[in-house]
Amino acid sequence: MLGGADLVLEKHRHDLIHRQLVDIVGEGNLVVREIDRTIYSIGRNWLARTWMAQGFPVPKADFIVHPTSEVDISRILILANKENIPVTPFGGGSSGMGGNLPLYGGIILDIKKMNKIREIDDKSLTATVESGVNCWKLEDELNRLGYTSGHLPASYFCSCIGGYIACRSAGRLSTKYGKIEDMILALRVVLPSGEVLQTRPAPGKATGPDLNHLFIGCEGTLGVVTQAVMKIHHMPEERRFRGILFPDIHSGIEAMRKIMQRDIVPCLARLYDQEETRTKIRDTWGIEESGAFLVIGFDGLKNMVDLEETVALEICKGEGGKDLGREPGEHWWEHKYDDYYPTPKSLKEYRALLGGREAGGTSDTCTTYDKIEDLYLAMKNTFWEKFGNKYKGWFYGHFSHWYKHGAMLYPRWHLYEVPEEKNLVEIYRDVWSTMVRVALQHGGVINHHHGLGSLLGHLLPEQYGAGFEVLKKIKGSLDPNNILNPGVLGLGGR
Amino acid sequence: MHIEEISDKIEICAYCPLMCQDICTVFSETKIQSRCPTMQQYMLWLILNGKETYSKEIAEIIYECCCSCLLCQSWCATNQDVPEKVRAARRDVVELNYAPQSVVHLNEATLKSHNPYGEPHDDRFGKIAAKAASKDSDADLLYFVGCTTAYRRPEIANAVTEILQRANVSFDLMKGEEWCCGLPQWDLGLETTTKTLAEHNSNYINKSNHKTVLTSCPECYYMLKEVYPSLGFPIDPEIYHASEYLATLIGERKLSLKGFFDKKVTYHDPCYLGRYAKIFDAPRDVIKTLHGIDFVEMRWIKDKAYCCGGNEGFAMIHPELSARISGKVVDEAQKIEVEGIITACPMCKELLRAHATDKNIEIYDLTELVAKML
Repeated sequence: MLGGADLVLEKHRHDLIHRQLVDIVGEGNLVVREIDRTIYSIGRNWLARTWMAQGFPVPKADFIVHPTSEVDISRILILANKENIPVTPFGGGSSGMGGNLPLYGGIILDIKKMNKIREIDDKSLTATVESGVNCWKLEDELNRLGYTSGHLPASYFCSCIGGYIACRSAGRLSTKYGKIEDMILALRVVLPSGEVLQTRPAPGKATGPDLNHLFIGCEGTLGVVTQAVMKIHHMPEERRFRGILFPDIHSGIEAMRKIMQRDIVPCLARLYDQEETRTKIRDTWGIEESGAFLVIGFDGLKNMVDLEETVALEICKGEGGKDLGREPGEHWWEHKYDDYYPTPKSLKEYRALLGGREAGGTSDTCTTYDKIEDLYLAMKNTFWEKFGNKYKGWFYGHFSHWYKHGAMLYPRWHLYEVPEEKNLVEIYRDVWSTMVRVALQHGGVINHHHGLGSLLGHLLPEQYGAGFEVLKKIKGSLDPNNILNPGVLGLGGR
Repeated sequence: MHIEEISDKIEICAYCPLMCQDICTVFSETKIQSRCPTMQQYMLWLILNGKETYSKEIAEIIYECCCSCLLCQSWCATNQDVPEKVRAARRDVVELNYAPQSVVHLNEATLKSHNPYGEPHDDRFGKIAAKAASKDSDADLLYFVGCTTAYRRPEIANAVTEILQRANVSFDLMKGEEWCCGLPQWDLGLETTTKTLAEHNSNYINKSNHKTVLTSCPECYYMLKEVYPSLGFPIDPEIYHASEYLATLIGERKLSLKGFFDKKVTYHDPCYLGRYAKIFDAPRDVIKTLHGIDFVEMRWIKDKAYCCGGNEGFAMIHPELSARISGKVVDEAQKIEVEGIITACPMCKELLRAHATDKNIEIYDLTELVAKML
């Protein structure tokens, strides 16, 4: 993987690099077992699991290192530059987009041992944390002290702050508390050269382009985030949820648009289309009636929650929404992670999906209210016309991150019957590319909160246009040897 | 392969999107992907599907990846038992002769000395005060001491016997006939040895006339009560853990606690007493009867309590990792500013005390505290 034709020289070089990595992180923080390299390289990634299931080779890193300090990371990147070895930053390992696939071998830089909560400032309401801190461990510590980060993504129990920053993560409560990029005040970043950059945690600034946003969403291509100053909040005095059933998705979107544009900001708002209401919502949460199910929640001071809930309910009723009361909403919140767990009942589906016989994905996107319904219908219709009917698929979607000016669409799709003679991976890629292009044609973006990884990175020039050259020049300037996460964000491989 | 018998269960974890990754006790310390339940089970999936084969390298991971604390199950929406799956893989590894040397040594020690520590069998009750060593074959109660209590924490056995005497309960010990309960061997996949131990102990106990078996070790308790029957060696007498038995003695006023314990303390739930045997209230009920005690709970308790570093087997195979794990429990206790941690397990006491001294925190077994209050 390191390159070079002569095996003896290659082995000698491998050993030299091994020794230097041991010098930097210590023997106990270096993993070289074959099976570990396999496990790291496959992870939760559908493509890698399918390659494995179908007997194709999976790209593997040569070394997995666990730095315990910023200095370690700096020294590793200096070594990687000197030896021209690719480095793949690695967080919790939940990426489904191939953002941490070590496509060109080299070093996996696992940041999870950089997991200290350095400071909680109860006056400014900030938490200074290392990038390897796991989300639920941070939230648990904050809750213990009466605070919350407001960031509760599905990967809550496995992912870490650095991964969120790399991929622009969003959590359950993003409509009120924002996505990760809204939660960051300052960053410390090790640049590919090994130098350390630090931004200032001032809540406002007029000092040129905001460097935080150069690294938020860079997916480890421009630097390795080592520390973040995050905004935190007092635990709300009141938090409550309820369920509302709309006759169709149109009325649900209209209600949510009006709620957001009246400056009523729910902490949670998740509107499921008719198909998802009829299937997953019914099976998971027992909602039997047809329509578009909305779970909506409010938190904060009790009086404010009372008022927001009252106004929101009036708007919903005005759009034909039927109030199902608190029970379905509270039930949803209590079981918000449950449908991610495979069950004996869902085993057959998972077996096919992750055993290399079926394909599925989530083509989340985002656009403004004037386009959101057209975008939803276009993605749905295109899926059925090009893939769904042909390969016996399903498609449903929900809208779960709302803004004053638009919303996020979370379409999920699955193909059950791809004929043996068809290349499953090619069809999988084709669905993704097609869905992304439909999104782009209808004013959307390639992705809302999972990042692009190596799966969708090649499509970024289509969204950025001339802007992509700017990104490439920044990459070329910061990382001339292209050591950091090559092959993602469409920035070129090695 | 034993893992083939539970392949459906393995698949459920292998397909899971890492939902218990940072819950996992071992992963939280090692931060290595193959140590998290999803990916260790995916590794077994690869073996089941012929993409990997067992090897010494894989065997090392199978022994390191799980301390059998069962914490993952407490958070799992589908109630998966990861240690069960790991045990199946360990049985495979043992049969293929890939088990690490430390496991082989533990097995040899057990076969030679009837305890995993390799301590002389004749010294099993050598540290237990003479007053407890009298044989009373007509006694209703048999006290199964256990290896860790006998060889590492004999003060617990002395406390138990003192309590029994003060409560006028006649009791007996198995003396030369008490062999290891077999839990470390069972957990490490040493199936043949486990059955040998279970058969010996159950035969002796069932041939005696005791109506009750008492253990002060949750591992012995769980093994005798739950695992022996599943292995085909059920125990006829009723089996009680000391915490249950103490709660009954106190409730029936057979024990009078006169002392005053003026300290701020917390309680650590042992994995095999809590998550495995579901005994959460009895030890707390006993603690609350101690006069003067200022009892506070840690952040995560009962089925979600942190593990203290694994059972005897894991702690012996991976002492350094086990020690790191146990340090976290003491750190948690320190956050609530207690002077002492009460537990109800000799292994927990053994592991926690190594971290507690520096922090001026005392570690007590529940039986010791009760004995002091008599």
